Amino acid sequence: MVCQVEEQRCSIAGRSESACETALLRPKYNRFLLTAKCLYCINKQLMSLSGMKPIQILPRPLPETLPFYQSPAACGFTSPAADYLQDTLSLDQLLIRHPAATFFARAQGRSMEGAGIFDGDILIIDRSLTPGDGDVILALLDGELIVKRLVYCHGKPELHSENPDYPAIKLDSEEGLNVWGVVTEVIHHLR
Amino acid sequence: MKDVIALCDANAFYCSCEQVFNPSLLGKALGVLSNNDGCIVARTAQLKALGVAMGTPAFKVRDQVARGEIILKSSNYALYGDMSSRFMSVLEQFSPKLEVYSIDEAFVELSGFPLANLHAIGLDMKRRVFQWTGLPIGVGISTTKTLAKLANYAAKKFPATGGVVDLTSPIRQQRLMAITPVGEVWGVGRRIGKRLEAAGIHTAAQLANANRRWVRKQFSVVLERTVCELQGEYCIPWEEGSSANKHQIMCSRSFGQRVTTRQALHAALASFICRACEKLRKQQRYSREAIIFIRTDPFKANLPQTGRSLKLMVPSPTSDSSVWLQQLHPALDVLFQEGYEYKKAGFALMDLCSGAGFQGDLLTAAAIPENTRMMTVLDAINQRFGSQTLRPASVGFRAQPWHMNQQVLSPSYTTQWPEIMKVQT
Repeated sequence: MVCQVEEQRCSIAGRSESACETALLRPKYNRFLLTAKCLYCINKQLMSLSGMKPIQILPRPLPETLPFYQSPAACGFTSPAADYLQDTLSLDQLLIRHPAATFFARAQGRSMEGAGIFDGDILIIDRSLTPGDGDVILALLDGELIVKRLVYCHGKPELHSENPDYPAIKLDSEEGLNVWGVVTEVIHHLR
Repeated sequence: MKDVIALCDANAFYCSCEQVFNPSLLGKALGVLSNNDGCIVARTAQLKALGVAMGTPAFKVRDQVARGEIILKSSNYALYGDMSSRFMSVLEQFSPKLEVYSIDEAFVELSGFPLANLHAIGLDMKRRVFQWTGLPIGVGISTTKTLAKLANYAAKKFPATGGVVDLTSPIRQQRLMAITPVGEVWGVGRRIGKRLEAAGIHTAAQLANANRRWVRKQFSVVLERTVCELQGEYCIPWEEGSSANKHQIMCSRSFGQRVTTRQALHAALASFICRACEKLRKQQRYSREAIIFIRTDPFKANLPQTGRSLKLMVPSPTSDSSVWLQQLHPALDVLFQEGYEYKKAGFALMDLCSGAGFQGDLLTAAAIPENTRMMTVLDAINQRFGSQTLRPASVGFRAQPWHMNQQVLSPSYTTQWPEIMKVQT
């Protein structure tokens, strides 16, 4: 099925961020019709996935963005919470200190289970940090990236696993240590 | 107070981006291919050492690739774009005044720092960009943009510099220019370089000492400005933010397979129009003039050759894709000829303006067309669900013969969750 729209000014109940999107995801907006002539079409997969009918596109001006909290026009009491509005919590803000230097990777293997890093977990890696004794790091060893704990033993760096089945890797000197970044957080999916 | 400018650029940027996430590529003869896996557009030092020139078609090194001596990668612009913005934001830590000149280079204003410290600042920039992003860069510092470019050339050319050259002292400027071929000067292309050589100007120093009036008369005002800059006179204006793509937006591709039907050509051009207009909207700018072109493959000399282009105008500046899409049928009436195998097509928006500056003429409405709201919705949907989720029917559905070949594409390590790096514990 291909739906084609010419006039496409979207508005559903004053929602700004793409009416089409809302309509696509929520079948209850089925009542909207897609007036169609010959210009724009909605992606086939999305249509079949949501099983929706075409949406109607109404000529109505829209606000550019949706404010966090929309107080109704001045009638009755204003919300007592309006003065206390804050941004919603952001995981980025909590977990990422240096966005330009932060990368993600997926861990494979069981050698770091003692450090809480399980197979399939997502690691947050900050390259801007200087690695120190005891940090979990992403190290470059023989052209491969591995996750280990950096431990200094008599001044020489060693890469330790957190699983008794895996021996430590001893490096000859500081020069043999090639750190890609410091692992700062682990995201572990519980289901 | 003297102006001080640093030009920072990444070494073999596309290759370096690949190596950051795939360290097994470090030290290898690695090349990154142009759109469509056509020719080599970025080379590591090891690949250069094998004598592989810039622009070498991929098929010419096929045997070496098969033997594992050379590794080639498709261009991964999602990755390069992300790494570029990381690079630029690290540079911003050094100075608020940054001009992003291209995907892999930027001018950074360092005026006000003590001259004696400049070299140390350059080293610090290089060190920090490498630590934060993994990208090796070169830094050239001087008093004009052209001299900063020259300093950067030296930083690359002479490994003993450690990749950082402070060229603020006039004595060092003279010394470097005396040994720099004139063709290496910023703003001197290959053609002008040859004409300068013919006129007896072989080095940058000779160009710097040339008579300005003679240069303007024989060549151009632009080259005269280059001469002034080499003499340490600041002439090329600073462009805040990004100077890349300031004056036109071009979207063109070589096709994966040659295209012979008008319908396929139409679909390809429709998608280029959408892409170009999307970029235009992102920059919040408008255009009323565009060029559209189609051509055959000049390397297939045995096939009939053609190449045609057409300039399109609309009554008032717009960023609405549908305005240009309506022009596409009549344009192809003029451009398309049966019996040719088309290899490349493109669409370029010219003469870009920001909305505020436009004045309508007598016969047309002065305002920017209202249709932009439709485009806002279109962009919002595509941003949320992935590009091309919502698209004009003329772009088509299935994989088309004109779609890009990307046979050796690396994962989008930084922009797609399913494709992030995999690391062993």
